[in-house]
Amino acid sequence: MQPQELIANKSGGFLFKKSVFLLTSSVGKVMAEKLVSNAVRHIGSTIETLAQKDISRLAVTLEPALREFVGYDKASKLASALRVLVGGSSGVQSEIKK
Amino acid sequence: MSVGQNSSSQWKTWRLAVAAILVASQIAALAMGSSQQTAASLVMLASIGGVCIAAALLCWRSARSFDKGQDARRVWMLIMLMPIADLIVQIGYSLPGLLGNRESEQLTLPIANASSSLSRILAAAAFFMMFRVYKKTGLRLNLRPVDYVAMVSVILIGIASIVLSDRVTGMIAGNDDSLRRMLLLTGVPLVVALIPCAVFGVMIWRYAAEMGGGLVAKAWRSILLYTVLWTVRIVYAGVLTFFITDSNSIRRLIVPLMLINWILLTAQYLIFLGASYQYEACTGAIEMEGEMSIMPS
Repeated sequence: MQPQELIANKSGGFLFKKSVFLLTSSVGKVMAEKLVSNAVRHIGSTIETLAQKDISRLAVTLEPALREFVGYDKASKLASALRVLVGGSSGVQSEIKK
Repeated sequence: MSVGQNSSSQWKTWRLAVAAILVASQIAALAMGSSQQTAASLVMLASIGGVCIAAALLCWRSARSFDKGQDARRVWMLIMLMPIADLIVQIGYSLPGLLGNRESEQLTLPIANASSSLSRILAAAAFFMMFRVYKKTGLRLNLRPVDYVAMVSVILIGIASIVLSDRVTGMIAGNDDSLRRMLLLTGVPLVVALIPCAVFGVMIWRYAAEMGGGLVAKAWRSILLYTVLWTVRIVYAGVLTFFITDSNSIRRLIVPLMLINWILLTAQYLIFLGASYQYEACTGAIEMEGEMSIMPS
């Protein structure tokens, strides 16, 4: 495996982990892993090749599955948080408070 | 780091506050004793009523967080009816005593019994719908031998509750045959709901365990514990009837009889807890693991 690929793999797994962390407190670790991996597969990617540019699409795919457990508003907030905190999008950063 | 409204620590404080109020009210009712029986019954009714209403409101708010037509919305609407049914039961059984009008038992007791049985049918329907939601996610249901043991145990507790509720009914109705018939008739849904409640209940418990934590899992575990405790209470009351032979035996059994109230209170607190966890999952702040915020992106 080329060094570039190694970085990509590490980054993919890393983004996957971050996405899971974000959802864990609501739906639990195993369910979060299941929902995120379903969404990753749905967008035609894999955990290894997942890139930051995919996070927005991942959030869109993940949102309906999350609605089943946490409702419309929270699923939407989690999707936004995913775009901001994992995808690095700056659109809704003002919603986040430390 | 948190995004949104109330943090988990605020929710914890609320839950502890409700538990403290319930315990305090129960102790106050105990302190009033038989000398102020009406006041003690009112305190008991108010505390149970309060927690039932709070649980129903949280269920309703949680249900409204879901889209129309979503299974989860219907599930939480059905669960909302359970504490309401419990409140009707409590009012139905306390009201004749509080009003000093025993004749009204002919009306209030069958209504109370019917709502209680109906809430079991609702529980079975809610568990089945939630089972479908979990199944849709693709999360594997790994039933273990202990789960089958749990299913059989819950069914046995249910059968015991149905058999023993006949004794409780007999004690309540006394020589009134028509009231006894009405109570038995309104208890029929309990039999229908018994197996679906146990089977789907244990399946959801397993799914919740497989989720790996989280607020939704906590919500479902609390609701399922409530359902079991609700049945255990009937069994316990039924067992006690074997020891009640005269008014002296009631005085001797005052502590075991008080335990029925504590079981009821714990069950009501559990449904409140379940509803509050679900409401927190739907509206609470987004909590993130500390590890995540230090990870480079």
